[in-house]
Parts: sequence; structure tokens; C-alpha cells
Amino acid sequence: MKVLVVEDNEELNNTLKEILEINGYNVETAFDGEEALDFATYSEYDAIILDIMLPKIDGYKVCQILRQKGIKTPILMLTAKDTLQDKVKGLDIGADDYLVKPFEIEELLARIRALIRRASTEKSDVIKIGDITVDLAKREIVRDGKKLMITPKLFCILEQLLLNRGKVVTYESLMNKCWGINDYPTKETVRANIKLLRKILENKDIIQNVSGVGYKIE
Amino acid sequence: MKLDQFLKARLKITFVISLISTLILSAFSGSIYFFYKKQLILEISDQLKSIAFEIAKKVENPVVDFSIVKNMKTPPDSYVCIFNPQADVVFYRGKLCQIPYHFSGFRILGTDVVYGVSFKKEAGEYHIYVGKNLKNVLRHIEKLKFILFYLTFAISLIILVIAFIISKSIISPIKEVFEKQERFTQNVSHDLRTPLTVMSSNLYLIEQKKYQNIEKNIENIKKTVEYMKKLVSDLLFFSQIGDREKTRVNLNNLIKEQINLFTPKIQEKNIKIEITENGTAEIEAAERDMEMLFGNLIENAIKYNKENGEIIIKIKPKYIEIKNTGKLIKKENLKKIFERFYREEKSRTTEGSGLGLSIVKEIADYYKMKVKVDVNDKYNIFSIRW
Repeated sequence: MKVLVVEDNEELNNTLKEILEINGYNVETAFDGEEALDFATYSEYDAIILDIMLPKIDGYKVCQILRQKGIKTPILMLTAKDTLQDKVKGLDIGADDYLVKPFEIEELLARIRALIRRASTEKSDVIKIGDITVDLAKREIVRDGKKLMITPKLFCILEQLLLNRGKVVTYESLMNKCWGINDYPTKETVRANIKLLRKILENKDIIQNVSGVGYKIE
Repeated sequence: MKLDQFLKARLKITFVISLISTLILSAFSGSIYFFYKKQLILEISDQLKSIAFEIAKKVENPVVDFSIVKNMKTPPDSYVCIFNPQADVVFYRGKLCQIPYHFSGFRILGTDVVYGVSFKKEAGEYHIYVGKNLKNVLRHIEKLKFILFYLTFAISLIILVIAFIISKSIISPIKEVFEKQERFTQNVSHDLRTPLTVMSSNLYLIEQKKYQNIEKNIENIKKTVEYMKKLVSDLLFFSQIGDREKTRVNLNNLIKEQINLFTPKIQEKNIKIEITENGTAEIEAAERDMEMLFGNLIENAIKYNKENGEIIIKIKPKYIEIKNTGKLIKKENLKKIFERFYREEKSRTTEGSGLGLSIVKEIADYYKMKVKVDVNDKYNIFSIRW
């Protein structure tokens, strides 16, 4: 899953990136409003974490412009202001949630999960497919009480398919969400990873091919 | 909520102003009324007194008959009575007097004011009374009372409106200070919240990573602690401006000392410094405040300067100018740069607290120095005049 972190404080930006990466997210970072707009317009994210006081273009404006452009990515606003007006303004402008600094990291992670869940077809963190249980919060796959070992990349692919259950997830979307800006994945790379994933799940039928377009899980 | 408070304060001020002015106005018109009334009655009595004495003088003469009184000029509504020693009325004009007892001087009898005087004639004591009915006069005064009352009322209303308008200008500087304070508090809390988040999230990571590979996280926390230290000490400095003992400070020397302190940074960026001295600049001030003022200006001139840039300092008596070849400040931001926590292009580093120039302004204001910032096509120019 891919998240964009927009925060002008370098230490905080890097720390959030590290935290999110440890928790299995693919993270890109922007340090000002202009960068944020560029990133969010030309790349696809599952969520955007957006600070309000930003250089060049402030967070409210960034959010407004993104919504005007029709980009519906869930936005979690980070704010150091906790007045009611600030909260209302953020939500009115199109943010999906806000978090007041200083916040608990657990809460941040839970809110990001909730935001992504809200945007997806799946409404729970724990999903069952066949004899497999996937816990998106703990990032675990369990069969018969036994944990299956899986790389973050494969988990990311599985997660994308589960969050869009019943819908086709395209090659491009998978490439975008599960590979970083410096990787150069091709359709072949995706296919190879799907093959690996099926092997780990020991079930070929869970992930279905939609030929030429991508994959889906029913 | 807060706006409501200001409106309340305004209404209170309006109420107090109009109450006080109404009281003063009422007292004033009240005294006008009583003074005028007293004066009028006094005037009338004086008139009556002089008539009484005139009559007395004339009729004292044994050959003069009382009837000459008939031809004397008397004011309207007035009357004259003369009693013989047996207390019989021997003469009256206008109206028969009802005198309960004989007296000399003024008496107010009912609605009349009467002046009595006695004189000797044919070995007996005669009494003359000259009186005047006050009804007309009182009616006149009553009219004055009404006019004064309505005038007071009308003026009070006008004052009420004016007071409400004036109260705005009384409240607005307070409101300004309040809003500034509120903005400041918000800025402080903003600038403390972010570093707090940095620390808490790095601590979270350190635990999560089980204390492995945490050098970067420790570094982040250290940097943030440094920033917070600077921020807090700068904030404290604000409240201490002007507290220290004031001496005559030679700014030529002080500026050179400050430049010496920054030598490593100046060499690092290879900045050329040029000082022109046209006389000695001196001021009565706490040395530490001046160090802070010029230190901050020089530090900024270095910090925001480019590699191989220049700083040109001009010193004249009562005028100092510091020009630098740093990134030119945008014209529209010239006023804002002295605001607390203002940073033009918010730098990504946490170097400095963002309070430097507002400290400069605060110190300059305290010592009644004028700080100006200007930009031409090559330099940012900070000038201080006093």
C-alpha cells in the first residue's frame, strides 16, 4: 500500500516514513505544498498524510486543489492547531480525517488503516478467503492456526486485491502501489510475484487472472 | 465566544461612560436650575427692597401723604401695604396684604415674596410691606426645568451613541494585543507540537526496532531538543528585554565583536564583510539587548547569505545599516518578516527558532529605535535609526 507523507519538518517527515515502512507501507515524501501536488497528481496513493502549515502552498489549499482535480485519495490532515474552526475547515475542504499533533503513533496507524478501509470494498481488518485468514492490521496470513511467511511486497499485492475485492486490480495499479519510485517493475515482474503469491497461499483459485488487464479476488 | 467578550466590554464601557456623563449632565442642569431660580428670586427681592426703602424714605416726611405711593412705579404683580402702629392697614395698593406678624426683611409667604420695613412717623411705628406674587416667575422657571430635563435626556442619548462608537477605538488596541497574543500562543503551540511529535514518534520507533539501528532516531531527537531549547530561551528573552543595567554602549565595537563571534560561519561561506564607519554610534542600553539585536541581524545576514556573498555594514552616529546579498526578500513579505515565527521559505532545517527578527523588532521598539527593511535589486537592507 502506498502512502504520501507531506510534512515540512524534515525529521518528522523521515520518521513518519520510517514508521510507515516498518508497518508495511510503501512511502513517498514531499516537503512542501508544490511537491505534494506534483506527487499526488502524477502518482496513485492509497492515502495522503498532509500537514497544514506547509511552505509554498498550505495544506488546506493542497487538499482543495486535489479535490477539484477529482482526486479522491483519502487525506489525513496533520495539524498543530486544535481549534474547532481549524478542524471544521479541514474537513469541509475535503479532508477525510484529521489528527492533532502531538499524536500517538498507534492512533495514526489505526486512522490510516481506517481511511484505506473506508475507501475499499472491504470493511474489516480481518478478511477470510477460503481457509486463509488475512489480518491487515497485524500484516499476518494464517492457515489452520499457522502463520504463513510472506514478503512485504507479496503482502502488498494480496492486500491490494483484497481491498478491491470483486473488482479488477490492474497491472499498473499494482506496479504503482507495491513498487517504489526507484524500482522499474514490468508486467512480467508482477506476473512473477503473483505466481509466488499463489504458491505461498497453496491455492491457485483465490487469485483470478483477468487476461491482459490484471487480477482479482472474488 | 471571544468576540462576544469584546462586545460585552464595549457595552460596559458605553454604559459606564453614558452613566457618568448623564450624572454630570444632570448635576450640571440641576445646578443651573437652582442657581437661576435663586438668582431670580434674589433679584425680585432686591427690587422689592429698594421699593420699600424708597417708600419709607418718602412717607417718613410728616407732610407727605401715603397717596403718593399710588403714583410710584412698581413691577407687575407687586403690591404695597402700609400698617399704622395699631396694626391697621392705612394704605394698600394692588392687593391687601395678609401678614401674620410684623417683620423686617424678606419672607416667603405662600407663593409671594414680601419685604418688610418699618419707619417712624408721628411718634408711632409704621410698617411697609412690598410683595410680589411669584406664580408667573415660577411658571417661567418650571419651563426652564422642562427644557433642561429634555436637553439632558437628548444629550445623554447622543453621548450613548458616541460612547458606543468611541468604545470601539478603546477596545480595538486591546483586541489587537489580544489577537496578537492568541496568534503567538498558537504559533508557540504549533512550533512545540511538531518537535514533540518528532520526539514521540522517534521514541516509538526506537522501541519498535528493539534499540537496533537507532542512531538516526537519536540524532533526530537530539536536533529537536536543541531546537526546543533555543525556542524556549528565545521566548524567555522576550520578557527580559530592558531588564539589565543600562550603560553607554559603543555599537561600533559591539558590531565588530559580534562579527568576530561568527567568524567560522563567515569563513565557511566565504562571505566578504565590509564596514564603513562615519563616526561613533552610541546608545544608552543594556549591552546584552544590543548584542542580541545586532547579533541576530548579523547572524541572519550570514545564515541566509549565499556562498561568496557580501555583507556591507555602515555605521554613523544614530544610524546603522546592514546590507546582505542573501536571497532577496519578496516585497509583499517585508512587513511580515518581523512577526514571530515568520519564515519566508520555511526552511527544512530546524536551525533557529524563527524568533530572531521579532526579537530584533521588540528590542528596537523598547529602545525607541526604528528598524526598517528594504530590498533593492541586489541587497536586503536592514537599517536602524534612533
